[in-house]
Amino acid sequence: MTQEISNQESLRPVRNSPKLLEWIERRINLTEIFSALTMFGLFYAEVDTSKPLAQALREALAKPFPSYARFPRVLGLLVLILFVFEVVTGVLLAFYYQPTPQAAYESVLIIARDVDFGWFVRQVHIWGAQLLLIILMVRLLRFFLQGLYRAPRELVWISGALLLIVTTHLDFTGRFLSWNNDFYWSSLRAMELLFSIPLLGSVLAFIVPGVEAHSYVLSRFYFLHILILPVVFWCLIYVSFSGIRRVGLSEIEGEERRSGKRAYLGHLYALLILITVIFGVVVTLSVLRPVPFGSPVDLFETPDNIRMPWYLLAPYGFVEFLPGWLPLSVRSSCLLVLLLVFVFLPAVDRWSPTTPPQAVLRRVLNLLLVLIWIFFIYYGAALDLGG
Amino acid sequence: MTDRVPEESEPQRRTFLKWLTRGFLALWGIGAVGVIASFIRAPSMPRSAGLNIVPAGEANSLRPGQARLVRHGSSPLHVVRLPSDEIIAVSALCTHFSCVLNWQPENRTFLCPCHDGVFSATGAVISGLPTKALGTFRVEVRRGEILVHDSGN
Amino acid sequence: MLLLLLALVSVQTEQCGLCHPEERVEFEASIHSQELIQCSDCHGGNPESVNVDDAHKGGFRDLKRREDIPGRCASCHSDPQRMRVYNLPTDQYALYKISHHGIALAGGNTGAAVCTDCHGTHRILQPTDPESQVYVQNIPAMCGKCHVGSAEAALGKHKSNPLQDYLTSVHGRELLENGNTKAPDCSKCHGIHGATPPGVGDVSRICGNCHTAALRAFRESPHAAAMMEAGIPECIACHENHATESSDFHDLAEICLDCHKLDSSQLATGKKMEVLFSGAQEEVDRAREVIEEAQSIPLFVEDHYARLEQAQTYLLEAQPAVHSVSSSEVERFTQAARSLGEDIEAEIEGELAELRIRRLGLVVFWFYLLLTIWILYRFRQNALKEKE
Repeated sequence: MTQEISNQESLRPVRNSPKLLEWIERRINLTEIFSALTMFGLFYAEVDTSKPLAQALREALAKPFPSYARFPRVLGLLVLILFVFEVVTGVLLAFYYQPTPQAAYESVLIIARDVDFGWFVRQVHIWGAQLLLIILMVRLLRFFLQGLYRAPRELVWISGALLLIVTTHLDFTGRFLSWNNDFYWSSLRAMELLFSIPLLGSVLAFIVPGVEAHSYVLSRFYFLHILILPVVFWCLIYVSFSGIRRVGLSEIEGEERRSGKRAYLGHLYALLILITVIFGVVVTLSVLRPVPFGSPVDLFETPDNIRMPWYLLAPYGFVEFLPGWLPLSVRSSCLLVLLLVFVFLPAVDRWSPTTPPQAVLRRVLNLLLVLIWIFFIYYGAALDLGG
Repeated sequence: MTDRVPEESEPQRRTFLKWLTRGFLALWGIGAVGVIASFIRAPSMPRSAGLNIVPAGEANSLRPGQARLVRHGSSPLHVVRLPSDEIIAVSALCTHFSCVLNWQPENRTFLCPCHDGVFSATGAVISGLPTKALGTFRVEVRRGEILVHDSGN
Repeated sequence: MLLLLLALVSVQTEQCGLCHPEERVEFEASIHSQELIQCSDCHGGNPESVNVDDAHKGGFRDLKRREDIPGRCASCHSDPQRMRVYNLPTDQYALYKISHHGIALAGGNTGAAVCTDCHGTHRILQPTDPESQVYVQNIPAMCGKCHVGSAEAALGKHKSNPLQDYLTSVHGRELLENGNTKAPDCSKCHGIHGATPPGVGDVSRICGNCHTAALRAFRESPHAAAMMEAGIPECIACHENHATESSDFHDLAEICLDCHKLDSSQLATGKKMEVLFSGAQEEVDRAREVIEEAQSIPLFVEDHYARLEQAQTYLLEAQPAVHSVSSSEVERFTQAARSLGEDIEAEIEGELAELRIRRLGLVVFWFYLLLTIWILYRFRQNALKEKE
């Protein structure tokens, strides 16, 4: 089926004659455009933008490159794919959503109930977001356990950590927008925790002017959610992938590296398979476990069982774990310190193992820290469920 | 796949399979376009979010001295045309125990079937156990249709 | 100093307060004082004198004897000419004389309640004043000063404590905890000045002042004539008099057992009514659950909620219909409630089928998905294999 490819060196079996390519390349740097487009994970080798596209690609593909659609490297790609899902479904949702306290709930109700496939778009948006968070966490876990945050990969780690934080904010503002009672009150609870952090919290509290339901909060969250945070997310992804392009993908033992455009074609197909699989997962979750529709926000009655958003369980557990006689601001400061350590881990952790026993010790230590984190999740969840 | 088939039919078969496969995969694109297009097409139900307007039927078919029960969620309404030709809307739930009120055309009052509470056409308590008057709502007649502005939640 | 103050404060030139300061202060707060009644209007005597002997001359009544009080109050309050300007009734004394309190007092029992026991002596406030002893929410506590069982026991009546019973009742809770001033206090059933426990034929009429539908149903039932003949006090036979509770259909047949035999046809009717009602209640509850399930999908359920309200109304109407002890009467309402509930369920079931369609679609989708993945995989194999 793919045999009728002629001798042209373009990336895909397209029918463009070389003349068209030449025509374009005389007018604009196509290689630069290609490089920018594939910066976000389609192509991990560095592309020389001074050469014409065909030549630049030939050179880039001549070096053996690793297969990056295989686990565990695939996590980065998954982040990108899910983000695209979120943007597409988010744009569709924005066609109907109205960001005022009076109309918000009902507009979401109209989406879910009256618009064709509205329920589908909404569920994909919500489940895609949860999967995105999980995958970001798993990716960071992998980096942490395999020590992939040390020089020269610091930027990859930092952008990954910031990505996680930005995504939690995206989820947090997003669930607030639905003006659903459960989500609203759980957002308030999360805000309580976040605002109690000394410096960062004050900044956040300044941006969010109070937690009552006047339209300022909703409008600000709306704009944060649909423009500012996605742009920040996009920039962080750029930094992440661009960094990986420079430092190279992580090593996997016994891996065979190929070169040439056929190998790259194989990668593209692998990418398509990946997209299909992840789409299937999200659709399955959307149909079998639809996120239920609650009741509209009732400002006058605080419900009994407000749950903390799941991704904040570990910070919550940590803050509650510290002795209660410490004031909340002190405990939150500890949380802030922990957060900074988390983001700037490469600066904090300077110890590189030099001998095999040291490497083993290092891994054990990392594993221990992960277990402690899991303990805090469990602790936070137990507190949350208990009341 | 290339070795087992006889030479003559091979190109034909391959072409056929090729197009079949392409058609199959194209269904994804068509499906996506179809879903997105039907999503974007605005729904036909004339509900506007946040405005809380309840359609209450035609104005012409409601004659003076008549009342019409409008089922609206858990807060049904009665739409009444007074003898003065004015149309008003009151809550159809008795303020005593939330029984649905019945309109009495003879004396133009609302009677509660549960404890014989009586309300006037405009919602004031006339007799019986209820203590609070019925809630009223703003009524608008637009293009011959009665619309009630439900400002409650 | 206080006396001077009092002398300055008193609008009239009454000097009674010089010796009776407490009474004077109390009186200042009363409605009588507001209406410019003077101490001498009740007590007689000479209010302007500061000399005790002079003051207590001229028809002075100290009103220390309780038997004298009703007549004294009646001297104004039974005078239509005087009371006309205040629009006050003038039948209080007449009613009092035929009340149990009045009869007891006339029979020599000076412990029986007189006007001042309920209205206060000097600090008499209007019944609409929340601080008044006879304000509707204060009445149970006021009657309860005496009626805690001892008075009843002394008369050989019921052994319970009416105040305590009333406080636990639905009427008491409505009045005192929920502030519903339409709920009955002691006087609404027993009468105000003519306070008397209602007699056998009157009980239903008194309860029926509010529970109109129950009274209508009761009058049509065989119970009405039978109870009158047997001297059974109607409503109280099944519902408590003071410790009245909201009734529950679930205990219906048990109550019938109080008078009827276990295998009687009457008990069968009672059981049937119980079954009818609980069946209808279950149906309505099921309909409510189904609506809530659909709401969470979400589906359009506004019409259904309104119909649920109507079904709920029918159920509320079925309750007083029980008093007709006719299962067909009860069935009219329970059937209406049931059919509404069933309609709701049927309609939503149809809409819930949408969920099943989605799942079916998922299965088809997965077939398609797996096939696609396989095709892409073959493409990939080809691409990698055809490397030189």
